[in-house]
Amino acid sequence: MMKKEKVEKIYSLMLLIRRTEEKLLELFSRGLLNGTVHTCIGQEACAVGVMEVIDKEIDIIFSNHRAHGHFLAYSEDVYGLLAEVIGKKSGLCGGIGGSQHLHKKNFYTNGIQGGMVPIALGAAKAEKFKGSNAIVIVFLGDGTMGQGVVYESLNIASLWSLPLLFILEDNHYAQTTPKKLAHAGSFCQRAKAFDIQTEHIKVDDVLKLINVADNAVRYVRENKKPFFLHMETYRFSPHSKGDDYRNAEEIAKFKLEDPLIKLEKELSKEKVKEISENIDNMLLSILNSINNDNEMSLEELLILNN
Amino acid sequence: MKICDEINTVLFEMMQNNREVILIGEDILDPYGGAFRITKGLSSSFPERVLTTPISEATIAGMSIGMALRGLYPIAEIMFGDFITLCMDQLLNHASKLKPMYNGNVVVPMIMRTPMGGGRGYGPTHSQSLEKHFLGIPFIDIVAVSLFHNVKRIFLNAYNRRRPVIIIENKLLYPMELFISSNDEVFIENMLTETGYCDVIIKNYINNTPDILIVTYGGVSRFLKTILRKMIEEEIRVVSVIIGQISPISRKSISLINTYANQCGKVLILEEGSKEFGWSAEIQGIIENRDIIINRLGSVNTIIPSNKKLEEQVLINEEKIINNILEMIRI
Ligand SMILES: Cc1ncc(C[n+]2csc(CCOP(=O)(O)OP(=O)(O)O)c2C)c(N)n1
Ligand SMILES: [Mg+2]
Repeated sequence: MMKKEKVEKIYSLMLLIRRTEEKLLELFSRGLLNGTVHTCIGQEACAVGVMEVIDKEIDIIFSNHRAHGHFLAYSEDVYGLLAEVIGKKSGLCGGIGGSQHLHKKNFYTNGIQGGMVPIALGAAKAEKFKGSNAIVIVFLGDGTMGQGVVYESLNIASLWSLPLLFILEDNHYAQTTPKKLAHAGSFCQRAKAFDIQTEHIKVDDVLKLINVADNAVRYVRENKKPFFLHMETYRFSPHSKGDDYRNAEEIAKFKLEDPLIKLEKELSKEKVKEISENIDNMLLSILNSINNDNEMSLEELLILNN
Repeated sequence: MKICDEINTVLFEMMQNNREVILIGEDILDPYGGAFRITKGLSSSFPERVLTTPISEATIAGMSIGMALRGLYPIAEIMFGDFITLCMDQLLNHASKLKPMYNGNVVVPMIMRTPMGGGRGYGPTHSQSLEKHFLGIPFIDIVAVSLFHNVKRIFLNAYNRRRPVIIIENKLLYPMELFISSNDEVFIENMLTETGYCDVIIKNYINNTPDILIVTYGGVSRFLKTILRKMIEEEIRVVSVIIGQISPISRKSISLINTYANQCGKVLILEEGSKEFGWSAEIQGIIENRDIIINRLGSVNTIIPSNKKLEEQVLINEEKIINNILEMIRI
């Protein structure tokens, strides 16, 4: 792909994620969402950068509560995601899962911090056992580095040489807790202690990130070994909704380094306008259509018991 | 065959017949073959498919789920049932939920098997029967091995269920011989439930109405042969229903219990762990006829001491059960 086309594609995807989540926040404010949403506004580059370099036919992704971006970058199934979060039967999981519990093809999320890490490890073992060429990617936040199962999994991933790529999406906060109140030492050093190769990158340029992610993915696939990729990023939106206690100046400072805006500068004003309008129109028409979709009945839910 | 060998044999057969069956657990490799030697020989026969792990129970559970999601059939061993608490989050928030929360689009077929129970002086953290903390979790079968259940059928049915199954093995049963055919004192019948497991009915009489129904599961079954014989001498007709799938309780089990409860008018419900907030309370709750006299008996609700005498006093035993029966018959 030509550089220009690639930039357009990456930008479109990042903007799609941002607009979709802005829409979700708006729906939430209007009382149209049951539950909560954790948006990744500001962190889109992490999702897009990784999904750009994996093999979507075979690779397997495990993610967490903040997964809309990962999901859209994986599948671009805006309809399935929005219908799921809105609670419709046409959603990815029939509206049962909601924002934090998504599944499609080889993509799985859950709302228990760290809980998916040993499951991702098991999936990696299964792929190795089957002799497939797939790798497994697991996303985790800085706060989740406090969970014990993460270290059990780092240990076994290294010990058994499993094709598992750990992606630490470090946005400096866990809900309201800044890293300095939660973690001693360095994250990469923790992985290194298990003889796992690591890389640290500050996510301000998605194109740079794509290269780093590509190397990590190749390393895992070729060596059938784990890799630990520490991405330093920042979310502009609150943790979920109405729970932001961060310093406004700090947020403003990070917004100046928005990877989406940085990429936008590589495109013409007309192109940006065109992409943006297309996305807005698509979201409107999807939301209109979802409005008419049915919800699941209790009887249908209970069929799952069988 | 001893129950430990029955389990070992069915594991071997499952591995031989299904290439996707993987064993995972701590210290399960030969020559040791697990703390209770249940997996002995298997790592020699299937070296690629018996995975010994670090002491990481939560990850044993999590890896099993991940392997199950991706097409393998893991059978995890938790060395002592007491350690299954470390797996709680994986079982409750992952294994049980993934299928329904993804609207039925995935399955998590796996077994977690573990020895429970005291009587060997192992003390407070190696003697408990902790299954009651897992009862009632939807989408997980909890099944117990007993002296009277066809062990092989339990495992093969679990395999066919394509969902997470926890198999509780009371460790005192391991060296005992299965007792699955009637003799001239104890009459045995099997009742298939709609989920494919079995309840076993044993009686110390033929063609008559029973005086008392005993409902129980798992390790407590080890007392029943003797108790039923002794009750013949007391001229007390006892029918006992030994439940295979202890959670969720099947519709067939519920109707079986109610049928015999109505015949007897007296029901004694027994469990190995403490009865407080336990399985026996749930069984009491499913008995519809409010005129029936119901008693529940378990171990004393305290920690299980290592001291031999104290341990005997804390755990449920034959004498306590017989005293209870006699008291109930006198009413
Ligand atoms: C086991 C568990 N504990 C606590 C929570 C509540 N919770 C949800 S998100 C979150 C913060 C997670 O922080 P981090 O891992 O840094 O991810 P981020 O939200 O920053 O993306 C917390 C505490 C949870 N979902 N699961
Ligand atoms: Mg964070």
